[in-house]
Amino acid sequence: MSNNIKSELEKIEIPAQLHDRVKLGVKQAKQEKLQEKKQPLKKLPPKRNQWKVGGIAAAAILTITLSSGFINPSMNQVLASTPLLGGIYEQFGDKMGMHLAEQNLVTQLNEEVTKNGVTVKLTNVYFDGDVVSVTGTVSGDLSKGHNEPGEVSMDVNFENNKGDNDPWLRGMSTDMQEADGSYEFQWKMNYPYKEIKEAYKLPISIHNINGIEGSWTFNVPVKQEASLARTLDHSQHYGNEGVTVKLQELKQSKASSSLTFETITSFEGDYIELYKAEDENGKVLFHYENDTLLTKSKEDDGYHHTLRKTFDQIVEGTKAITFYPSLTIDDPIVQQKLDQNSFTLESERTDLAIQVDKVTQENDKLILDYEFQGLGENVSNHKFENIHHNLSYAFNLVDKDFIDKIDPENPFPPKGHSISRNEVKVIDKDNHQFQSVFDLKGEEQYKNFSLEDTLLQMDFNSFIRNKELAPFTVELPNQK
Amino acid sequence: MILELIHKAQNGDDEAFLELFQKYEQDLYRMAFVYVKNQDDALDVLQETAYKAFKNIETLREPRYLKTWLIKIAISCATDLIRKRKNVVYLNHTDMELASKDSTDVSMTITMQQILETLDELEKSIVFLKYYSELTFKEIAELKDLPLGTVKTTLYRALAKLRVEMKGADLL
Repeated sequence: MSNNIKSELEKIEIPAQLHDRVKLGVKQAKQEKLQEKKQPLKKLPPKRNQWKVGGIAAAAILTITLSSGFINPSMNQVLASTPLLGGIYEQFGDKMGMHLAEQNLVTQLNEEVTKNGVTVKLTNVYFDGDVVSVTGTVSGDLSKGHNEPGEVSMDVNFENNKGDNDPWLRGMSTDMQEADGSYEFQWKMNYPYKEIKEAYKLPISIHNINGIEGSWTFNVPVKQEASLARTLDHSQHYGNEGVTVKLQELKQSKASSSLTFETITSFEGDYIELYKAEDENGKVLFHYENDTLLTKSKEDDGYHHTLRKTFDQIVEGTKAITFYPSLTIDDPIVQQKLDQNSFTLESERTDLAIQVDKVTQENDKLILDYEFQGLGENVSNHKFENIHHNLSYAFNLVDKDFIDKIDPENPFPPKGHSISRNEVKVIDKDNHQFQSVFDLKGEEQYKNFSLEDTLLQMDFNSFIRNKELAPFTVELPNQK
Repeated sequence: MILELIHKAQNGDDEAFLELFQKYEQDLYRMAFVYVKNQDDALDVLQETAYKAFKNIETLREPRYLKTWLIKIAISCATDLIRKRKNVVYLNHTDMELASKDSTDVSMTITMQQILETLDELEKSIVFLKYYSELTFKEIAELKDLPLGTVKTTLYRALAKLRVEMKGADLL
């Protein structure tokens, strides 16, 4: 599937004028930047004439806010003084690696294995906080494999784990670059366990490179200098939502900081994210950073997850951190047999409901007339458009005899016995009344349809917003 | 090298920025095309993406996320364009020929048309990010600001739709 889709998408022809249009965009931005420098207080009128007004600016600001942060002021210095060893990290744009190389905290390796004409050499490893990086090269006759020229894929596992069931692969990222006929790569992993061992040997096994089977195995020494750890021991309970965030430990390593915390929720699929943190001066410490899941359990008081988040080093002398949590709830799918002409599908955990007023079958069409309740008043046009759009795939028609055959982990609708799309018409915008038409003999063929044997399922999750919980501030104890 | 270019671009060097952007412009163009389904609009989206990216390059904190940062901007520009053009732009025969290098390959042309026409915007972008940009589920979840489960479910739904569209032909 993936190769087919990729090759299809690659057929989208690149127009000759693409680069000129990009240049034009950059030129416009440059002119505006220059003018802003000259007239910093005056707001410039829009200079461009194609769909570049309000809405876009707002979207851009949102995009930028999500990914913004602070440029490391020491970047210049690092660039100037990165020793040869740091060059590999510079190539991959890895600031952490460059900082560590500068402090001589990268271990050089010289492990090389050749199998079936392909040589893998591991060259460097570092370990900082919970980040483990291994760099190396692949060379040899890769053309025997099944990949396209210039493509390299490796099937790798750590600690003798097998397949995808390997905790090291969860947050792993791979970068690769061609260099003189061979390929340099960097793997970056998040240490997957709660208790961090500061020195250990990490077994690495590669089973397959570009389809060439083999066994390239290594045992890599991984170590880091002791981190400064602060026990936080702060618990924040949100009674209305029935969730708790417990901060456990803040660790400061040579080039990064990491926070270990636990979340407790009453419902299994609920998810609490610490999406932002700021120090006492308002400096953003992280904004939407990844979490590594360390432990997961069900206890008497709810579902527990222990997570670790790694971010840039916090400034020495930081006194307090304010955390901003948000909650995503998991609303179970609700369903109703279509043997009644009117009924209500109620969201279990919100005030949302679908009041079905009429169920009609006309030839190969099933028509539902309904009111979407609980949306509140003054729904903005934009939100209404989203609701309208989402309704076209929020419903499922499923044959009751096949309902148990849907794997919840991999929820394909049963082919020939379900319909997952519908055409939505707005009947009365102000009163949130809609009509959904399911084509029983369209793209999805429904065999032997009968109202009595069909279930209508509704998934309210795409209509429920994440809830921002009240931020809380923690005073930092002295380092131990 | 990349780091140095980013640093220069952040200091206002437009040539350095163009050199960086050039590495990704074809991928971004294809991403935009999948959304807007015609060449003119996809070029507009790329011009806007380049404009916004250079204007805001100072805010890029982690150089290794440059590509996903650019994809985010391109998605935002493409969805805004679609929102503004309330009328849906259908892919006509001429566009299809423009879009496909090999218009004699009928079965493949149909497949791309299916990707463009059958999937909704979210499904298209997740299929694109998964199979073209080769991002992991987790990376897509972060990029699209969606729960991991939603990304997986959406991809499975998209694949199911494509299979239905292929009427039994084996895409896998």
